Amino acid sequence: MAFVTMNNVVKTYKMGEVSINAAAGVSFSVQKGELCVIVGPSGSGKTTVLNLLGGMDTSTSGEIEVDGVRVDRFNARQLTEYRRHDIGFVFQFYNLLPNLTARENVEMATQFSGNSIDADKMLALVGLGERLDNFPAQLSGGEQQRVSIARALAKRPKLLLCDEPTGALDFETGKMVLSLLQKTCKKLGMTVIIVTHNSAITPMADRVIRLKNGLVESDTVNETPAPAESIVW
Amino acid sequence: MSIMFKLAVREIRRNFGRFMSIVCITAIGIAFFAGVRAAEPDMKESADRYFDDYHLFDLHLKSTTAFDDDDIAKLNDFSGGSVYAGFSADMLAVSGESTSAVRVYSYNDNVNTVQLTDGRMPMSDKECIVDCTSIRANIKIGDKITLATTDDSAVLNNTELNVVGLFESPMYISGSELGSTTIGSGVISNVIYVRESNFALTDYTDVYLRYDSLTDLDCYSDAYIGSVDSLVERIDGLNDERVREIYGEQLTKLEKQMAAQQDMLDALQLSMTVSNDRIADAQKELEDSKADLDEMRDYLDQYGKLVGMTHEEATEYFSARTKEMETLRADINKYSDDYTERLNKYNTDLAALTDKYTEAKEKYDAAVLKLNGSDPDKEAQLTENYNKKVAQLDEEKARLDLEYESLVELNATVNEYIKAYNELAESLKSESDEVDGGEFNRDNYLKLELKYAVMESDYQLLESKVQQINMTSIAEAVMLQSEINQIKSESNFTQSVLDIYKLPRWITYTRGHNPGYVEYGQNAERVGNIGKVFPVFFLAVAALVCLNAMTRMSEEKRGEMGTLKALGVSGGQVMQMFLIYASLATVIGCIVGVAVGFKLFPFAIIQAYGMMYRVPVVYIPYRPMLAALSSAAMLACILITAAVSCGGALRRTPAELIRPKAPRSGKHILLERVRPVWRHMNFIKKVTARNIFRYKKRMIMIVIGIAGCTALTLTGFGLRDSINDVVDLQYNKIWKYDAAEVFTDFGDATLDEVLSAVHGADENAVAMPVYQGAIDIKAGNNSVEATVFVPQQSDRLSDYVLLNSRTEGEQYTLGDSGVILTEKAAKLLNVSVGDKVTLIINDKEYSVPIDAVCENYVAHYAFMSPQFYSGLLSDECKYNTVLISYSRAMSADKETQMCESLLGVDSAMSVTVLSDKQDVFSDMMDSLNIVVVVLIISAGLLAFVVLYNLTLINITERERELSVMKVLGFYGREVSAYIFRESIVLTVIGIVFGLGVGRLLTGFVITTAEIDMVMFGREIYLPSYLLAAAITLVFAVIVSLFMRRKITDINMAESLKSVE
Repeated sequence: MAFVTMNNVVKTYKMGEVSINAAAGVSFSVQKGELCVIVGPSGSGKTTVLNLLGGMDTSTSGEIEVDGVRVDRFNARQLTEYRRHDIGFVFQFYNLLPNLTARENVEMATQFSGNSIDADKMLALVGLGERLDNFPAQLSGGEQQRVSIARALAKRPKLLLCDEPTGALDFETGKMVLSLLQKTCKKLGMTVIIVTHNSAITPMADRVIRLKNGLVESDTVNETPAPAESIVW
Repeated sequence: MSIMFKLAVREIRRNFGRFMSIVCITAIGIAFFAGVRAAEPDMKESADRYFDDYHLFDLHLKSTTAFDDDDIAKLNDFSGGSVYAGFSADMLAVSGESTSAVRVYSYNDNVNTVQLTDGRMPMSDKECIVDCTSIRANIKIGDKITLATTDDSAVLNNTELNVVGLFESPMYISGSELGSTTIGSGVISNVIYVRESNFALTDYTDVYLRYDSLTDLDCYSDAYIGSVDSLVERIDGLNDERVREIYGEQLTKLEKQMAAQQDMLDALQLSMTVSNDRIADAQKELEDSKADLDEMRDYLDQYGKLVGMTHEEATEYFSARTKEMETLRADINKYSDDYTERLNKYNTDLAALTDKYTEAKEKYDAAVLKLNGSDPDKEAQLTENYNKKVAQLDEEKARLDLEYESLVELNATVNEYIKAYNELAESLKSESDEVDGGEFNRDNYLKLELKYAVMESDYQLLESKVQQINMTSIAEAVMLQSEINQIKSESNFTQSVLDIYKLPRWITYTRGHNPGYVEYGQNAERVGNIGKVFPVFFLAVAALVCLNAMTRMSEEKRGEMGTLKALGVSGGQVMQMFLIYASLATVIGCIVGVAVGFKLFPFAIIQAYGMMYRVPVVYIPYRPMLAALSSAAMLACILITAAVSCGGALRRTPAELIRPKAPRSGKHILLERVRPVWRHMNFIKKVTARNIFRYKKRMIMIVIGIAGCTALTLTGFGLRDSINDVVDLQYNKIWKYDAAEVFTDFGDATLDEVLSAVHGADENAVAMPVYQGAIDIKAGNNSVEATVFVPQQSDRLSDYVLLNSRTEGEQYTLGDSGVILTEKAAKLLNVSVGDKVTLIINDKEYSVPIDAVCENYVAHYAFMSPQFYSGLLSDECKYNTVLISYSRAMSADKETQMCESLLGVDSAMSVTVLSDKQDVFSDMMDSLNIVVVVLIISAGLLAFVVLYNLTLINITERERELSVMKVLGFYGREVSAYIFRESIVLTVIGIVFGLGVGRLLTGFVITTAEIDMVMFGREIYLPSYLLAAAITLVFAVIVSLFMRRKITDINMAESLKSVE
């Protein structure tokens, strides 16, 4: 059962007389609990797809369905609700609120729903049980990203979106973060979509979608996803 | 350089809002700075131009007699100025039932000209023009005025005048008074000009001097005042010369006479002394003899006891011998007594006669003096009468002289008897001298008793001789004294004649004597004082705002600056772009500000004072020096802030600049240590608390900006409160009476008449007589003009006037040991309870202690009890006013009727209803509302600009954070709240702080802007505080609404942008 579906989604940016098709008719679907990786070179439309899935932007045409709900028909208010409850976002540059401690950053997400995982537990889960009261400035890049993941997961979203989660990290730390993602999501049965330009990550995915020029070039299912630790780039 | 210029211009176009905000704040700052600074010279020069345009005098001379042609000629030749002579008189104007005192002038086209506001100039002697202010009685063109003098002397040819025009005069710029006079109620209620030909006087009463050399000077400047002072001295010198010229001869003669009389007095005094000495010597001799006699008696008594004989036995032994002596003695006594009796009578009669002489002479002299040569016939009559009287008295004197002669004869007789007696006593004495020394026997005793008898009779003789001397001397003394008295009275007469001759004194008045002239200058100076403080504040604000804007710009341009530096452009050159940007903004702002400020602010201020002063000229020029100075100051300020804002960044390496600025890291704040509080705060509150302390500098700036706004608003309202208080408190709390009636001749029946007039309208009305008089109060170098206030009954004063302490509220009662002084007067004189001040009443000085200082807002008063007054002046207090208290609910018609019947009371001068005065004052105070509005508007602008800028910086700096929050699913309002919660907390802190500062600022403005005659209320009421806070909040909310748009516009894609 397709959990996330994009059907012929087009996103056009008009700047004066110039029109640019960031997405030119993207169609794919992702099953529940899958770890999907979307790869493509710069300008292929990955960020656009992410924005559309994350409710941060609206499509020009086409259908987007998440868990049976037509997201492309949402108004601004509904989109906000959608982002609030249903989406967990992991940024490339962590984007923790610098003025809040690790715990508070996670709490910020959990206060939305009563169904969330306790912030302290979540942070313990990602291995930062000792660092609850530290500010982001006092955490390393990897630690910050882990807090970011904790923040994203703590509210039990339907969908976890990751934008180049390892882009700002070195190889070892990056692997660790990916491993964490993989494990936690398997544990929680979460659907994860990772957007990256780094093809080396693709082995760990259940599904790999390649984008080029705003269109899906290929959509392959990986029967045997490798554990994150074994990846090299 | 041209690249930098291009960049600067492009930047202006790119973000026009920022550029305009700097232009605006510069313009506002300069407008205020230059405008308010220009107000003082504008006010002074407006008045000066008015005076010059209408040829106001520089000096005004009045004489104790009058000016004759020689006086005018002397002034023409030696005063150095243009001399204009004219007439003036204080007269009573009768209109209906009421009489008022007016001053009438003769019109002169060359000096003290007037501006007609309506009608025309008088063309005949039956016409006049009248001062146009609205506080006078309603006089319209076409009305008739009847003038009268207080002593029926002829001053004008026509006393019934038609009003043909209304005018404004440069002599009277005060909007509330026209000066004082000695007639009527003491207050001039109108000024009238008539043609010179209407005056029936021969000699001029006034001389006006104008000096060309002074026209170019500002009349309030030190140069003018100094020149005028030396001119006054010159005029005084001319006066002395004139006096010598007219009366020189007589003066010298009289002075000689005085000297001669003094010499005579001295000689007579000497004779008196000699005579007195003689009496004293004789007295002493007598006492010495008595002493010897007593001593002898004692000795003899002892002796007698020793030899067994008494004094009586011895006397009997000598009785025959002494009988003769006794007979003689008796005769002497008889004649002596007779002589004594007659001499006493003679002396009494002589004394009475001398008094009669003196009395007659004095009466005659006084009568002659009064006439002062004006009526020779009457004088001759008086002289005849006097001579007759003197002849009568001379007859009596002749009789007394005869008596004197017979007394002298009697005296001679007595002397003969005394001679015979002496011879007898001599022989007895020589017998008694044969006493054998030492032996105590009867013979010796008897001889000694004889000696004693002789001594006794010698003593008695001496006694009568001394008595005689006494009487002669007394007679002599009486004669001498009457001579002395006579010469003294002659001398006094000479002195008073001398005084008459010295009378023609000229009194020189400068412009400062004109009502309102000095206060106007003082008010201008007050504005100048405010101008020294306030505008600096705005200058600071402008610098602050510019600093903000330039800092933002430099942060935006961070990457660009780094790139330029990487390309090899020096830091200094990059800074040029900022400096050019700032300079352009400032220059435009200064031009606009100067253009508006020099016109707007002085105009507003002059308008505000327009209610109190009548200066029709409004001179508000552009002042290049001031403009240049203030612009230079502003430019320097702005350039420094521009340099500072980007200087820090430019010192960094290009690489650092190219990298984006790392956001402030979070820190634990102090509040977290307070565990219980911190735990209870929900997470959003924690965020807000942390955020506030994260950007301390910005936090402080917001608090200061808000505080400034609140302070200014509060000052605006506070001023309004204070000003309103003046009228409200004075006319409702302090002055409880409702009307006052002034009388020229207050009699015993006056109070009853007043009461019956009033009871017709309100039977419960009460009234009390008081005395009010104009006085000066001095203490050290300070002096104020005040009114002395004496109620007939001190214990009833509180029904009419409230005397209390403003700060404590305790009520005072008038005691008999000192005065109660009003608060502002005490402050101006720098005295307090227990100190002594000098009251100058009718040119005499009295030192009095201050019992208490009472609350009062308008004018200055010294209250004292009638007992204290009479003790001070050694004269019963003569009342001249009746205060009346009646029901405030009385209808206007009834009130008018009551006033009419009050004016019907004997010797009534005028009736003042307090509510009328209150309305007038109220209108005057209202004009100051302009100031209030200006303050509030500028406060709002300030708040808006500061808050807008700072909030904008806040948002742009945290754009990334905010977009993340949006992504994370925060509602729009939640994201806004994230920012605005901080603003609200800071705004509230700012308001609280601002209320405190505002209170101080209001106090400063009030004490600086107060005029001497008035004390502004010292309290700011609760509604003002609430309003100030509310208005500030409103401004803050408006800014927030503007900012909300900005926040909603933040793109979520910001969150995905790279940091590096």
